Amino acid sequence: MKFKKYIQRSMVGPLVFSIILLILGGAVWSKNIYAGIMYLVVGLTQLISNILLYSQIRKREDETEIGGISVQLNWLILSIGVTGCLLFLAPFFTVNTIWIPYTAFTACLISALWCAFNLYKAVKETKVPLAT
Amino acid sequence: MSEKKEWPWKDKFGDFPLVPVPPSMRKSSTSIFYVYMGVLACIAVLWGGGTLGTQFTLKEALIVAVVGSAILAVIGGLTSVIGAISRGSTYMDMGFSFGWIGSKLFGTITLGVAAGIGWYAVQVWLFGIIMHTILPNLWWANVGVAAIWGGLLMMITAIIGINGIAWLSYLAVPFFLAISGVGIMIGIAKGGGFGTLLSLKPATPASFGIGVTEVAGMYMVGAIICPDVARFAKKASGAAIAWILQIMIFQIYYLFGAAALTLATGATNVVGALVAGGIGLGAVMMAILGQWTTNDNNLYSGSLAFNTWVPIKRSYIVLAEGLIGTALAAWFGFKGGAGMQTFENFLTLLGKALPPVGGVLISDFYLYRWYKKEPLKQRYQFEPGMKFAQVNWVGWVATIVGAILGGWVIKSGIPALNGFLIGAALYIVIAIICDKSHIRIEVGKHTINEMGE
Repeated sequence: MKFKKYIQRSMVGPLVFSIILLILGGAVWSKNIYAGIMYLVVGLTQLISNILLYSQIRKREDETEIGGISVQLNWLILSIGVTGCLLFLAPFFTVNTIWIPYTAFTACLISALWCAFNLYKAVKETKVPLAT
Repeated sequence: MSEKKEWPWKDKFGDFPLVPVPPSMRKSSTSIFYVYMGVLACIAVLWGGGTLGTQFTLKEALIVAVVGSAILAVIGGLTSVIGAISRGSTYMDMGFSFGWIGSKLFGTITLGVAAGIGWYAVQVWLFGIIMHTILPNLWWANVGVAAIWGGLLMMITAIIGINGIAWLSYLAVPFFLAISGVGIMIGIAKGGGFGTLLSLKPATPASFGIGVTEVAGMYMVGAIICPDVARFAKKASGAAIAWILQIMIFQIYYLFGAAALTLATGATNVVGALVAGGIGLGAVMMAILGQWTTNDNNLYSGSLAFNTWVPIKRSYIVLAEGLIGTALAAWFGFKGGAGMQTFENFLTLLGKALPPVGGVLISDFYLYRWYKKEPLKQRYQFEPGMKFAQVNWVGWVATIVGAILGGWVIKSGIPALNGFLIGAALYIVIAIICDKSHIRIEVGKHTINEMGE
């Protein structure tokens, strides 16, 4: 149960970053609709993955099962975070204030690193494979 | 093989090229879906969509993409079930419909050489072109030089095996989906809105049949070699659904996005259009990850085909075919440059020559075994000591005649589908006639040992 508690607490971080992205998406919508869509897509994907992870492991007790679910959903948050990092600073998504894309970039980067560490913990503590 | 029994095989070469996948190695449907998606997420599919954008209006391109994808969905869905039931690779499964020698010969020629070396080389060459388009003034992004380092990079996950392929797919697929959506956004932005985009006319209109052949031919190898991935699936239905979903939703999405981008910008090189549209680093990563996730699977499948008769570790085969493919791609790059014609010719050839192989495999598994009253889940079950025919001549005849008639002789219809249907029909008709006439379709015998040899 140690890992279950860890992953439940640990997902708060990416959850907060996904909400930040949704707020930023709303803020840039009127300036660059394409940037707004992309921020919302990345933020919503991370938010839904977090909710799915939390709800799927809530009633489960088997560490291997919890590890498997964690691996799948952390991969998703990680990869969509990397996507945000690669796209948010691109000229096509430029908005007239520089701090918004850089904040979004930072939120995605931290989420991605956070989930990479969660993957490491899941594999180490529950012995599930990195590709379940 | 019952899952309750102890696994009676020895995996001599790694990643089960000659023996069924054991229960402990089976993966969830989600994982299988990701691996399939990783194979699909490649520049070639966007390039294919870009080609559609030069030949059709957006509405026509969508219809062509749906029809071409539906053909692939059916073929790949059926072959996925074969792999998930038999637990054997495509080449092991081909042992039933082509015979022991036939599986090695046809597996090597059509899948080992075509997918593992030919298609791999084409994709590496495409990678070189894309890098050159993005960074035209850098020496390491020259078509030939980029093909060399790109080809070497793409071997890494194939050498690791199915797990390496799955890790990379997990990382790359969401990114590829997002950036394809960006392509549609750029198309709409540059085209002056979605309404205007719909009314744009293509530069060089083509017939419906050519478009469908391009779509089906582009991924026909992938549909036929589905068992290589599906054999790892926990459930046969999950493997089939994973394949059908990724083809009918995501392939159409990719093709449509690329066609929209090409129609709007006039650029057939989709990555070049993305760079011009202001995507920058994202386009570079798209080129690298997109090609990598597809090409590792080409190498992997090719190595399984070669491993049926080359008795060395699978990873060494990956290395050898990867080096040959990379050298070919570099040669293309240094000599041929960045012309599109080679790519289009190769797609057309694959679309004509390969479908009968899938037709024969499917016909034997679903129709001939049904005719012989074998229950579905008992078909293609491997056991140490079981006997295979050395040659199943009906499979050979149906494939060769199907490829010639479907690909070159019959001028109407869709060549990829013609070849597939003729191969399947010829196989079942000849096999049943032979059965009724007491003519043996199987020649010679080969007994396999616990290492699958």
